[in-house]
Amino acid sequence: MRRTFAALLVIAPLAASGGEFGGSLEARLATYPSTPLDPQQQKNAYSLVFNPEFSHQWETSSLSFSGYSQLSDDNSGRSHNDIRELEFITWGEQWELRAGIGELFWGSTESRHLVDVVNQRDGLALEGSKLGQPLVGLTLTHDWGNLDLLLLPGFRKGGFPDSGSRLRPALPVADALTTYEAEEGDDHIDGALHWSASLDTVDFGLTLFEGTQRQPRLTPQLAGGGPVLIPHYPLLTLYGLDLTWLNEDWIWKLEAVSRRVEGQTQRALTVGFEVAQYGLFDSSSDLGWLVEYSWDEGGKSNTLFDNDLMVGLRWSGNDSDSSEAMLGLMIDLENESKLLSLEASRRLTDDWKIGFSGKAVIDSSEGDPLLYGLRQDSYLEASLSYFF
Amino acid sequence: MKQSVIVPLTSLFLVLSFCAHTVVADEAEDRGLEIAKEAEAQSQGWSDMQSSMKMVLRNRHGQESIRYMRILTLENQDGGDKSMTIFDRPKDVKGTALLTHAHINKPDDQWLYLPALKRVKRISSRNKSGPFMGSEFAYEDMGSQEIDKYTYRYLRDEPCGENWSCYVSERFPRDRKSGYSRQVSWVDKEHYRIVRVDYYDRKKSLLKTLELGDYRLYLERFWRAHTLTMTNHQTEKSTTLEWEKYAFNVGLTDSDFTRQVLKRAR
Repeated sequence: MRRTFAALLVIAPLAASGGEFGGSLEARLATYPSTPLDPQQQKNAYSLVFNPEFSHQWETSSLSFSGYSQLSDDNSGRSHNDIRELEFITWGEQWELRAGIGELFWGSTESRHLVDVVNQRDGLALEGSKLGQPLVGLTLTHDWGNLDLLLLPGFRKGGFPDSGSRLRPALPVADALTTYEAEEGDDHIDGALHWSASLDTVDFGLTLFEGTQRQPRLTPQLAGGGPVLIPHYPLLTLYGLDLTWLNEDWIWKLEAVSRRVEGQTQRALTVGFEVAQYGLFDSSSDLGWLVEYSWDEGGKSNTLFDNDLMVGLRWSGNDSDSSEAMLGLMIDLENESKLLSLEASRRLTDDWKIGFSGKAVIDSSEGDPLLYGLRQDSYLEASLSYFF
Repeated sequence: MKQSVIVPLTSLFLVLSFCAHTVVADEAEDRGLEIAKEAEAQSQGWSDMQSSMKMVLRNRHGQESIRYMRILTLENQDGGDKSMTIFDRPKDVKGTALLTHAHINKPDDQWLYLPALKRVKRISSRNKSGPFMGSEFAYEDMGSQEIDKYTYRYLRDEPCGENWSCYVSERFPRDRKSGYSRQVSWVDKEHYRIVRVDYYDRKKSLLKTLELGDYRLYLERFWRAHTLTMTNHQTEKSTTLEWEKYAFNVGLTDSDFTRQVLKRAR
């Protein structure tokens, strides 16, 4: 709340002096057809998401703000506010300096983002959305590529929904009992470096991250009269490689990391390709195949992607409404677990857009504890967005 | 004996007529190429450019949907131009930006910035025949029109445009990924302004017609059309591009066309 207020203090006078306002308002309704594992979990879920944006640009600097405000069912515990971005950027021909709260993306693959380690995932919001990260960054651009140097003061916890929510861990998470390996706790200053370059049809990047790991380890314990999960955030040293290679109609992608946590080294890899067939059946639509294999030494208790194959089909209408749909199937190569996902959207008018998304746990093995815990949480969600 | 004379004569006649035919064909090709080269020479040397565009998409019932975008271009006379297209509307794609490093002898390099994900994605530029932003313009219609990407043939002279005298010639894309078998263009003789282009699909039937108008002169040298309408004869849809501002020599350099700049383009 204090942060939001501080943001308003900065934005208000600038807004009065000009600049650009915009953003979106989105309503979402999700339905979960299967009986929940815990009777207090919801059958339907609604959310309203407000995303105001403001930006102002001068000759060689800019200020941008992006807010996130979600209102959800009371018992889901998913209502929250966040500043995704409140960033001042200034630049010269070969450098860029940024300070504030920001969001960034590193990496190349689609099904898993191993090197995208700077922003915390927003555990209360839609999948894939990230919390704003306090940062100071310098980017140098030369013939040899781009070098991003980042100092990250202020760690952000991921956030866990309440027991009434679906898509949550089996036990309640005692967020107040969170522990850190770093002595400074969430005041530990993390550092990250990313070097990226292009060589003809190859784009590649190298990542180094040194700081508190974004993903917590959840340990069951007895606290307050019952079993709970206590999040612990260890320190992490990560080396990463990301690569995209265009070879005619094929786009090859690879991400690989080596993570050192609590004296142990774990490696992980995602590799695959995307290939598109343009002008399907003489129409203007395209059909793209996406195949990615993921492997992770961390094993099934850490990730769904320890030895899995993702096969996706992406359809783009290339029409004036930007109709598109994506169907994905994740297959565990060691047991029978399968997860089907669907996403589709199109524009209704210039300002309105409709979308559908869903996930179905087709089969889940007890040997896949993360997916097994979500076996009754298949859902279908409809969304309507207004852009202003 | 007689036959031995007749046969060589006949063959000589055949050879001669064949030569005559190729000479005519070569002349037409040379002339077509000359016109294309002259048109390019007339339009070159502007160094860099900044402009904004309104795109009106019309379906067969006349319903319209409108897009706005800004385009920055840096000319590179030895090779491909560099360009950045920033989308302003529809609002759900606001902030999306496309960076293109064009090449003559290999596919262009393209990167797309997706503001919702803060992600720069390398994309394939091989989808030449696909529609640009759901419009009747294909990517290959929007891209840089390098001379070597086509072969040419001059057809005839004909009046066109605002009572101008025009060259009519056709060109054939070398790229097999092109959606066209040929294009016929009407170009005015005086300033090499393109007035009209007919596009024939791979099955050789007339697919689209582009009409260019509202030509204005910049820097006392460069004629630029301000209204371009592409009509698809097969779907009855059309798209009009209305250029709203052209600014030349705004001081853009290579450093304005990097992936880093793509991220902060708004």
